[in-house]
Amino acid sequence: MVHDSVTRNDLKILGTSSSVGGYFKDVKVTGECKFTGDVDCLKFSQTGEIKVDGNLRLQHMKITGECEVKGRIDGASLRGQGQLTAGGGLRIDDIKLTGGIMVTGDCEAEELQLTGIIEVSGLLNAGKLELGLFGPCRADAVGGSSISIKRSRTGALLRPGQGKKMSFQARLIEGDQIELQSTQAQTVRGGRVIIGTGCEIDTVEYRDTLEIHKSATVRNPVKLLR
Amino acid sequence: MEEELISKKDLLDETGISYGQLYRWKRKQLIPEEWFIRKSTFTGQETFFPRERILGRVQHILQKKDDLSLDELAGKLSEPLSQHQVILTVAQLRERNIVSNSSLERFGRPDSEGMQLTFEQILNLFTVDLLLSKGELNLEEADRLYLTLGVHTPGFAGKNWELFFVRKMGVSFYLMALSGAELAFDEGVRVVSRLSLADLTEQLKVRLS
Repeated sequence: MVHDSVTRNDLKILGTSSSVGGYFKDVKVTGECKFTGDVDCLKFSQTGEIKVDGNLRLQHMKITGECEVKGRIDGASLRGQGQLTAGGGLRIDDIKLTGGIMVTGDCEAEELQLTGIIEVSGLLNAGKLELGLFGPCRADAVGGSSISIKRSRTGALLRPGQGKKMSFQARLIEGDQIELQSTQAQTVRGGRVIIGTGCEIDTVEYRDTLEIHKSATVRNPVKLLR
Repeated sequence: MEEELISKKDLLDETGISYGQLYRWKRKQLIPEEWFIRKSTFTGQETFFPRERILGRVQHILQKKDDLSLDELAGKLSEPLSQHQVILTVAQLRERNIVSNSSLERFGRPDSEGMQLTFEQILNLFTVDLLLSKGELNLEEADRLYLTLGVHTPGFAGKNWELFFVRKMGVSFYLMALSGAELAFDEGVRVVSRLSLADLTEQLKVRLS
């Protein structure tokens, strides 16, 4: 996925600047930077605000601040605090982030741990998904092996009385193990399903077990036979 | 020729795989994006797959996944054609029953048992043979198909194409287009066969291995 045939140099930016993009080894930005083309690098660390007009491809990414990419983002890992926007899909194997992820298209990860908010216009596809809701979140569909969507405890403490706003909305959620809180969905399908507080689900189809919290609404629970 | 579809739920039931596996394979691009067909049903929007192709692919992945990592498998499945370094002789094709005897006699020039064929050439033979054996072509049409493939496949330069074989009022013709193209025909036209390079390659690879 990373071209080996090109020479890669480091890029360091302090203050406000712009670049046309290209192939780099390490990219370090402190301040503001606008890339007018594709960026391909091994390590990408930023503090501040970044805009990429093309696609962003990298191995490791660490962000503190905002990063807005017009095209798609491909990478191996993402760490940090801040907001990441991808206009053409996102695929990063390992994500641990506090902040926000906004994706137009599909969002794919092997492991995704997020405390904050997430908006995905297409499919949110993660092997292991752990969401700590901090505000209104949504995705068209969610799929994966283990899916856990819960209200963030710190979020509830920091912003008391705002509990209603911490919610997740999806058309469809499918996974082997699913645990949900504060989620509105049309259909949930899974093996072992736990529907926690504040959920409103139209149909739950489950194979093994289903637990429903007494404050949750499930209009149509269906057990599937093997 | 409408392809039979299978819903995601039925797929899981029939193959015994889990949602986790299915979504993982999708992430690893083991299952092509075009195979996920969204359709409205009375329970809302559902995902369907082309039945034969997805069942074949799932079996293939399940068989191979113990020996290869998913990434290696994905690489194998999406290798561009030029990387298939398979070269077999006409005699080998006959021996291994990859292309039927009668097709080989018609197209394989009987004097050249030892002639070596590249993957592309084998694929053309295989395609013609496949349609002939299904009884969808007569021999003249087969000749024409063999010619068409020979002339036009190089022009696609490794890009995925689809072949349409259509008939109207007893007249038949072939049409080749880049994969994913939505073609519309007038009313009297019957699409006898629709084949894509990707599927043919896959079927042939299974035969070869």
